[in-house]
Amino acid sequence: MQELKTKTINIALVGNPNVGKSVIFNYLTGIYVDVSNYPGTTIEITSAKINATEEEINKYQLEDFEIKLVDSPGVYGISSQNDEETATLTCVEQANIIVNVVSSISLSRDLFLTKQLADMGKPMILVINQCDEARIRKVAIDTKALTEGLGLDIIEAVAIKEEGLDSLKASILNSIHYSNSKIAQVKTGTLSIAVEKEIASYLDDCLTRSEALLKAENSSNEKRETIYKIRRQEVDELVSKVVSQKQFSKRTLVGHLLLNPIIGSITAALVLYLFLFQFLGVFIAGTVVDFLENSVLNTYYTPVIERLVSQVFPVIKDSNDNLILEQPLAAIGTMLAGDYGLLTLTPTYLYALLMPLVLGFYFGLAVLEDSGYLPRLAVLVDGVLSKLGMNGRAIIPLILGGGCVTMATVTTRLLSSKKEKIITMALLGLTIPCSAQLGVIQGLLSNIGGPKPWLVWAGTLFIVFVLTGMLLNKLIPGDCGHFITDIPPLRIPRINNILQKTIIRSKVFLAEATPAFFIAAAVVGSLQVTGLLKLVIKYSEPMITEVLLLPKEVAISFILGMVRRDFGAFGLMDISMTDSQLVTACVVLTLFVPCIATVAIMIKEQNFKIAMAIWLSSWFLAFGFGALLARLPLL
Amino acid sequence: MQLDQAKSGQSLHIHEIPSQLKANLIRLGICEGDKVFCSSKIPGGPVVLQKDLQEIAIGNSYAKLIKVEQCKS
Repeated sequence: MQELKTKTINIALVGNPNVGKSVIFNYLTGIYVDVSNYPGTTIEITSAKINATEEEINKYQLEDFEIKLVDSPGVYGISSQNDEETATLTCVEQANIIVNVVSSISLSRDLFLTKQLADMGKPMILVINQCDEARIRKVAIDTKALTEGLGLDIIEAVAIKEEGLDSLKASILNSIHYSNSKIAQVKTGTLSIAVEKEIASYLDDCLTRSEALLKAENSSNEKRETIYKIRRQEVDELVSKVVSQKQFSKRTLVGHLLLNPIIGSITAALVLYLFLFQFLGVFIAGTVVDFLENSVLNTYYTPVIERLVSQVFPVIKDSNDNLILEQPLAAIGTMLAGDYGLLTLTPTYLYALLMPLVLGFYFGLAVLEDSGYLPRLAVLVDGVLSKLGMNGRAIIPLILGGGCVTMATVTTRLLSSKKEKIITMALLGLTIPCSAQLGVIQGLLSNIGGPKPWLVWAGTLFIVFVLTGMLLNKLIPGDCGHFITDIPPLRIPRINNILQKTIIRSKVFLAEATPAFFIAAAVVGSLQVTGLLKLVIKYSEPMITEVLLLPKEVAISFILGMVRRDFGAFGLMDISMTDSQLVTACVVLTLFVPCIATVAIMIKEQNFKIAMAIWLSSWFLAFGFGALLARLPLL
Repeated sequence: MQLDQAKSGQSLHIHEIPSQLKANLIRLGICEGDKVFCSSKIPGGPVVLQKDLQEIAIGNSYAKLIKVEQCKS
């Protein structure tokens, strides 16, 4: 069968950020790509076969075709301004048919790209997505007039509810069916006469219209402005003809209130407190983890395993509770079901602690993303962040860091200037705890009770964050990048979307964390049975007990934290400490070194020197602030 | 005046956009000669402009470069 497929048809999904391309991709191919409410999620290009059913293959006679769908990064236009645009351009050039996705509520922005694609002369289907949003906002779109104005076939859709997507699929498959019979089925859109005049002199030298257009647009700033202005005018004229809105909805009002400096800041502080402290700390790390750990695993699982293991590999301890390590069987027993048991602590930690916390974090993040709140937060914090050498956009990696600092470090590439990238990276590595750590810390802090420990922890981090940012802003030369962003409308988060995102992201995270945890437990377990653990604790003891005034067992958490941030929480919950020791431990653990994976990404994104500078300075910050905090009577 | 001096609630006429910003803003929907509404201004931070259904935030350092005039209405 494979050899018979003679022709590959490339179909490119192209559109502005946040219009629903990824959801459509998911529907047409059955493959999930991360959907998010901020630009830059689709950094890598995903492509997959459209899953046509047997029936459809027969109906449209597609046996000889391989139909490939390519999901391109969201862009506002195509030139070579950044990596995303270059990637999208490649997708467009290779495509036989373009599916241009626009949002019903941002036509005047989105159609700019549509007109540019039309001027490139590519066969194209236009999908007006998020039609339900337009209805809610009482925006009426005259599709007939738009079809005439653009010269394109238009499909109205609500991708998230799968409305209209079957007709999109039918129309794609149908067009391929016709292309087989050499009848051009997909329209190419009306060329702009005014733009045509501007590019006329380039058309002769270029093989394709798209090449000529881009050559003209990139020839000089003046030429680009002229063409862009013509296009903008045409779009605005068209939009004023086809779109009508009579009244503002309530949601627009809420959207405005969130951008009000005072109301917005109060809301942001409240959102942060509710999400971090009440939801992650009190509910997830407290109630849920407690239930899973004590009422489920420690009742039904761990005792059973411990009994089974001890029957095969009896652990013998002397009168001082020291392990008798000469016994190989006892050593195996300790590895499997001892303090860091591969079969006891590791699954408990992974499934009773890490999993609920990661799910909780990604759930909260998905709600914030899906509601359109994040860009508003970026606007609110832009002024403050610009004092620290960054701009509003940096809030995205900083928040993502609360999930996984390593993943967040990758997203620093979305920032434009080198200076903001380095500063954001440094702050991520130094001050942002990742989800497992965050959850454990929130749990520990909420156990002490009252908002005071939380405020001390958050306050210290805030001070370190601000001081480090201000210092780096002074030290690193250059420009902190400028901030222009489009603010998507607020919407009520859709539960399906949120659950899908939460589950997919948590799965990816846990798939990576699970083997790492077993390895870590095996390493610590073997350190324990060989007696090396005692040595490690002995040598790091002065640092912990003298400098930080903490119990010596905390050393293990710190050592593990160097390997993976979330390991740092490993065991910390079981060490008995006073309230003020707990707060100190939480602060030091948060400030302590970024994990190996993060350092690797830092080296890849920047260089070895910067990564090492961040790594080493976290030692000083963690121990410096820890020592200070241990001696201040704050609690 | 410069855009960073705009106040929330004002209707503004965009006079002049420096050339390094022009292409970017035209794509997002804002052109010289447009009439826009300032829907928010964060002190020391961005100006939020509204045109039709579109909302665009422009950081302080950029807003300083854009010349606007308040519309009398």
